[in-house]
Formats: sequence, C-alpha cells, structure tokens
Amino acid sequence: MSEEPRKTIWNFVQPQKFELPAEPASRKARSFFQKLFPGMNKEDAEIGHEAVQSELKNAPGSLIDWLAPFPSWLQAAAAIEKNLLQWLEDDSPDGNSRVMVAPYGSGLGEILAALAEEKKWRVLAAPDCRVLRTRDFSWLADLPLDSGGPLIIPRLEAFFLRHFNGLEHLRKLVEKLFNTGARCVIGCNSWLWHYVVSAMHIQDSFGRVFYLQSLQAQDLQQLFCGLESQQNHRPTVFRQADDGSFVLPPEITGKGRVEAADNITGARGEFPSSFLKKLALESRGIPLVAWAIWRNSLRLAPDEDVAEIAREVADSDATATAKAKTIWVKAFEDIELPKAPEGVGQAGAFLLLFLLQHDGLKTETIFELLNFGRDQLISLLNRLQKAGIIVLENSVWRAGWQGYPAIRRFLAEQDHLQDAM
Amino acid sequence: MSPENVAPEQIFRDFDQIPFFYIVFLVLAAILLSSLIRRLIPSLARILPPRFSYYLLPLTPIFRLMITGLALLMIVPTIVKPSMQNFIAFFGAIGLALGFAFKDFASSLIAGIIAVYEQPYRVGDRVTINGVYGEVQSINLRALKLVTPDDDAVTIPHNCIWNGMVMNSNDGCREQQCSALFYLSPDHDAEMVCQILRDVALASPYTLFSRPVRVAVREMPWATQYRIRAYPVDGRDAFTYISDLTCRGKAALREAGLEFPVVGAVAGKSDEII
Repeated sequence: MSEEPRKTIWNFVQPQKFELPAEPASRKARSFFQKLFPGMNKEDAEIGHEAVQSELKNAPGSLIDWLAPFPSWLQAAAAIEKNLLQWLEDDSPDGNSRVMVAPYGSGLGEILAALAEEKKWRVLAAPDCRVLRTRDFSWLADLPLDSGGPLIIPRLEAFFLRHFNGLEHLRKLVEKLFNTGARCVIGCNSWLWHYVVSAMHIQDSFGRVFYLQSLQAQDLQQLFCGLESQQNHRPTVFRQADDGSFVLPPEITGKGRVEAADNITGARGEFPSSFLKKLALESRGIPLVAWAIWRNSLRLAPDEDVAEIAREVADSDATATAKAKTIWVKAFEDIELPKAPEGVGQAGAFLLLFLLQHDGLKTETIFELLNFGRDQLISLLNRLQKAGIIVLENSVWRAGWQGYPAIRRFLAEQDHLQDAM
Repeated sequence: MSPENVAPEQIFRDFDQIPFFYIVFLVLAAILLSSLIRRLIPSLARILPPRFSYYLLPLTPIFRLMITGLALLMIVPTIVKPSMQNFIAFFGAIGLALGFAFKDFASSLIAGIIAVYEQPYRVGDRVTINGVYGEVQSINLRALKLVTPDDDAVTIPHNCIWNGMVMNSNDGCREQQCSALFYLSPDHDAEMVCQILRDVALASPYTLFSRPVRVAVREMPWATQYRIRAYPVDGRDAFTYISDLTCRGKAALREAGLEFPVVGAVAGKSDEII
C-alpha cells in the first residue's frame, strides 16, 4: 500500500478564514491571574525532573544549524502554485493579480522567490530606494510587463517608501500592473498590507488576496521534524529540560533506531507537546519567529563535550551509525526572549512600525523618514539592538524574529498596532 | 412653636452632644479619600493604554464630588438636630450667607457641579476658554486647571460657563482634527499639490487612518491656501503632529519646485491668514 502523502502545513486562505493558534481558556485565565499577581507560580513544575536547566550548556551554533537549519521553502512555493493553478489556467481570470499576505517573519519573499526560480517566472526588480524618494517615475517605463509567464513581486515592501514622494511610486506601479493586464503574483507583509488598505485605499486595485494560515502546534511539529531530518542522520530525541517529556515525537526524530537508545525508557509525551502549543501561541504561528525561538531553546546536557559534538557534526559519515543523542529543550517559560526596553516611547514605536512596514531600512533612510533628531534615532537603534529587538544585517535594520512578539505587544501598548493579521 | 420662631440653640445640637472627633475623622477621611482618588485614577490611566485615559480621567471630579457630598451628608446630622425644619433653616442660612459673602465662589461651586454633569470639558480635553487654549489637567470644585502649549498652568473658575464660550476641540474623544496651512504662489498645478500634501499626511507616523485625510484649497488674492485636515492617533500630539505635517509639507513642496509667496506680498495680510 502506498504511503499517504503528508498534509502540507502551508495554506493560503481567504482573509475571513484566517485563524490564529487558539489559546485554551485555562491558559487565558492563568495568564490573567499572573498579570494580577506577578508572584504566582507560572506553571506547576513537576517533581523529579531529569536535568537542572541552569546547568545545561548552550549548544554550539554548528549543532543548532544541524538540528534546525533555515527552512527550505519549496513546499510552501508548491502550496502557492496549487492555490493559483486554476487562476493561471483560466483564459479569462477574475483580476490579473493575486496578493499573498503573510505576517513579518513568514519567509514569504523567499517562498515567492523559490516559486519564481522553480517555475522560471520573471521576478520584477525593485528600483533603488533613492529613486523612490524622488518624483522620477521613469523606472516604471522599463518594467518587463509583457513577458510570457506570470510576474512575481516577492516583496511589495521593496517598492514602498513611506515618504511624501514614495507613495506615488506604489500607486503608479499598481496602476501599471492593472493596465497591462499581465498576471502578477505579489507578496506583501501584513504590516504593509494594513497600510495599503487603511491609508492608501488601493486594495481593490488588486485581484484577490490570500493570507498565509498561521501554523498550529501540529504544523510546527511537522516543520521542526522536517528540519531536523534535513541534514541530521543521527537518531536524536528532544526532551524538555524541566520534566523530561518529549517535545518532538521520538519515533520520527529517532529515525527508527530510537528503541536501541538507552535513555528514553519511562519518558512521557503527548503530541503536539505543550511546549509546541505554547510556542505556536507566542509566535502567532509565524514560521521564522517560531523557528528562531526553537533554536534558542536547544541545550546540551552538562556532561556533553561541546568540542566533541562540533566534530561529530562535521563528520557526516559517523552520524549514520551513532546512537541516539538527547537534546534538551528549555521549558518554554524559561526561554529568555527579547523585551522592549523601558522608555523608548512613541519614537521607538514609530521606528519599529516603519521597520516592519518596510521589511527593514537602512540608517540613512530611517533619518529621512522619521522627523526625529539623528542623535535620538541613533540612541534608539542602539538601545533596541542591545535589547535584541532589532538586528543589523547587511547595513539594514530589521525587527528580530525572536523580538517580534515583544514588538507587537509594545506597539499594542502604544496604540500603534497596525497589522492586518 | 411655629417654625419661623425656631431659635439657634434648637437647630444645633448641644455643644457636648456634637461628636467632634467623629467630624474630624470624617473630614480627614474625605480629604484622604479625595486625594487618593486624585492620584489613583491618573496612575491607572498611565498604566493602561492611552485610549483608556479619556474614560478614566473625567471620573476624578465626579468621585471627588461624591466623596465631598457624602461627607457633608454624614456631618450635618451630627451638628444639626435632625428635623425637616432644622435642615431647611440650616441650609437656607448657609445658602444666604454664601450668596452674600461668597457670591462668586458659590457661583463657581454650582457651575462646577453643573460642569461635572454637563461636561463642557473633561480632564484630557483640549479647550479654549476666554481665549486661553490648553489641555484640561484637573477639574476641582471651584476651578479647572489648563496647561497651555507653552506649558503655562492657567486656573479658570467654573463660573466662566455661565456667560462665556467654551470651545472643546475633542469633546471627550481621543481624536482631534488638526490642520496645517501652506501658502503657494498662485501659478501652479493645484491637483498635484493636493496629491503631494495628502501623501505628506499619509507619510507622517502620527496620522490616524480610520479618519479621513483631506486637503482643502482656497484661493486668496496674494496666494493659494492649502489646508491639510487630518487626525493624529492621539489628540495630545496635536501640536507635534501639526509641526510634523508642516516640516514634511514644506520639504515636499520645495522638492516639487513650487514657489512660496514672497514676503512683500504677504505683509499686512496677517488677518487673512488667520
């Protein structure tokens, strides 16, 4: 009998069908009382836990890359293609564009780029940011809109600049796409989409809109098991450090050889584990946010030789016959996640909002977009970076994936939560 | 004996019957509770997201008035013998005394009570009273305190509401429309300027998008006036928002190569600008 194909975790749905990971009522009540009485125990820790969390060692970067590498986006790209199949084959489609909206940290740009590469579809290159801040619209004339296959705009954010000259570029692009009738698949993050809908009111210029469905705990389990087996051929078990329960099913991560291992007898686990349920809730089911927190939670037992592990990682042949390795996962409540620093106030909220809407900005562009003193902005950038809320990569400041939940909470407190999802 | 001939010693209790400690305790408790309310509600408003402050802060004078009224109701029967005639005579005498001796004070007190229920202004509102513009910082029994944009504290008695005009910019709401004015030499493409100025408002991080952004144009003999009408997310940012719009607007208009009217043409036209 042929094996039933696994259900995809990547689903693009109509906006009204979008759902966030559900929070059980008991957990809601617990978090409410924890807010009222901060001293109350967060979770009833089980007695007789197997490892003392404070003694666990940080796993080396190479091991973490081995256990949880950056996701491959091919399955997600295939899900988009499947979603668009009917529209692509339709001779008289309803609307010439499809917008795929996903929260910040969903890897949507990478997914659409992978789809374009796979299908050899043309990717529409964005103009330089310096062009977007002028009233020079000549770049629009050079766009290859009459090519055969569908056009892909992986990140609409690259065509957007929240500047008095920048908005007109986006309007003209949308108008041009509409006029030429070329089929176009557009990726847009939920923060920019909120702006497009509520400020620019150009959402109806696009054909249809689909939201990336948030990943539930079960989906995260599938994602992490898939990542774990991507490069790692050694049987591995993931156990929660405070109570020894399995975080991922050992029959999957153990690669069929886990029975021979000596350290899982008596361990409990129900799947998806409570750790993954909490992770899904905290990350709002956003793939890269959950992935970054997952990587942060992985630890090694105190007696493990880190240097030895690093050597094992490098030696791929040895892993095929090695016995099961236990990776400890910090209890969810003990994972240290970035928090918004005190006193960054409204200026900090504006800065974070702009970073999210643009999917990252260069320092000079930040100075141009926000009417605050340069010294104030530099100080803010440094404080937020120190807190782990934002990161600087290739001269671009962007919101950190692990910091995203804290950013969202902070923006909500400041009444600047302008997110479509 | 008829009520007209009630002697003072029959209205008030005997000196040794008046529980002075109880009265002092009540007065102190009322003062304590009142000052506690004055601190507690603003603290609560600071902890909660800013939008809640518009509902919480106006409750302060209502609670304080209730505490004062309750304290008075509890104290008066301990001093005055409890009968209808005595109460009428007591409050009548106090009313008469206040009417003559503290006419303006009493007028302010009564206006304050009416202001609490009629709410021509609430804590957190931006109002103009007697030509003074500012944010209502506190409402006390006799007067309200405004803080002007220049950070001056202005105390205005409540009796200003009898004859004066109270202009309330936000009327208890968080939102407040703001407008930024621009003047350009008349020879230009007005449609393009409207588009640029609309984008100026949309680009500002302060702008609230659930309310419309509008640009109004008015032709004047010496210039074309443009007015951006938009709302900031928080009305308390009104002045910062107008400054932000003005800075962005000027930069946008300069970049678009538009000409501002020359100073000589504007001289002596200040009334029209307003």
